Amino acid sequence: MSDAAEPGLDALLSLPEIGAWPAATALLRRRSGTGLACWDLAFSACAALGAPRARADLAAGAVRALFLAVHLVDDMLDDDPRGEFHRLGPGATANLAMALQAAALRLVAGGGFDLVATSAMQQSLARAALGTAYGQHLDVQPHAGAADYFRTVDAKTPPLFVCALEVGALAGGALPSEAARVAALGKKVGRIVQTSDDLADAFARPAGPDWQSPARNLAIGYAASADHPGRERFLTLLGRASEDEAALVEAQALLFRSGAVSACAYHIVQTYRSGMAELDALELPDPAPLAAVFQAHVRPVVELLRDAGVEAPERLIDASTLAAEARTIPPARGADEAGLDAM
Amino acid sequence: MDLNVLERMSGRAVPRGELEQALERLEVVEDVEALRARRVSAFGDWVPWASAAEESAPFVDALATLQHTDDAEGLRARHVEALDGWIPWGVNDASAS
Repeated sequence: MSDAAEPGLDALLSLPEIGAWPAATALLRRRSGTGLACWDLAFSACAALGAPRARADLAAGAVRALFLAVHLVDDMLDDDPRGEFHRLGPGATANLAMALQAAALRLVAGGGFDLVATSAMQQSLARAALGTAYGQHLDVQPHAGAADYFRTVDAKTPPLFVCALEVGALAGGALPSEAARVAALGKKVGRIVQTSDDLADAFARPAGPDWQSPARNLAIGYAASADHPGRERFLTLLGRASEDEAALVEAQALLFRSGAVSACAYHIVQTYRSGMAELDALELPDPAPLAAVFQAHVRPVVELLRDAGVEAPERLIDASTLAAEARTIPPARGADEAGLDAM
Repeated sequence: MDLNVLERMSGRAVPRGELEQALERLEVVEDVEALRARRVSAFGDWVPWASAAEESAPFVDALATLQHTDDAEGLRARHVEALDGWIPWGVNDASAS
């Protein structure tokens, strides 16, 4: 993707220190995949306020810099083999992360926004940086199950999405209180993203690191703890899945039969529905760009259901089509429901 | 268990490789035993959607269809492909997860 298609990037690269720092410029120019990057949500929020998307260029650039700072440190915490720190060294990588975090704040400070908006943007960026760092801290602590899982997920994943929406809305002319309401949608987006990421990790071959930490992955944690007939077999496989491909293949098949994949799909759809309901309640000038964000993030699950043979799955996830079809069923069981409750 | 902690406690470098792998296996075993003993809180009731009063029959059926697929391997592979590049970390991979 060329720089011309990367609004906000030029402003970041024009910061003297960043422009003169090859490792920083190389990292900032890198982008892969066709998905919606977290900083793109700034444009969606700005457009939802009825403002031209270009007004969010600097806001998106700031989130991009902050995201990259988080990314650099996260790779070190996870000892990720793809991390920049293997090439740059941990000290230089930490220094680069600090620089990018500061660049984010500087970008909005010099963005020509009024003082109220500038102050709110800086607070949002600071909250996201602090919140994500705390979430990463929780992520490396021992997990005792679903409660720890959701506390960590809610701490580490949503802050950047929340921030992107908030600074984008502020750039679009929202008052801080209004921007905060738009930003709250980022909590839902973050949960959907994390659940999809858990599925991707659980389905990966060779085995991803989550097979070593079952309480850190919703799909694996569900299959290991829910009361299904294959649970004991799954627990037996779990200890070998990281080293034994046959065990991994059988365990991944059990993710389906145990209902773990369906549980993830259910959680994503529940979160999507509640997010869309929150969006509707905001009565924004043009909610379509933010609805498109939710629709983009639920689409992989829709396609998974279609692939499984479900007809017109997009109709099933829309809560508005469900009321007339609701059926009479027994009340929910009273066991621990922390894992799959709506937020 | 963190090898860096062991190094600080012992005051010397701990050799990587077999020891590190053994410790990783030990962690998995501890997790599995905790799960087996139900010391880990459940991630949800089994198929909670089947008893969700507000849920529609077609959606419950859709989740059951997914659960009882006879092509788990195909669905897994195609979903991995669908998610490749989709997770919006936006840099080089999904390593920020």
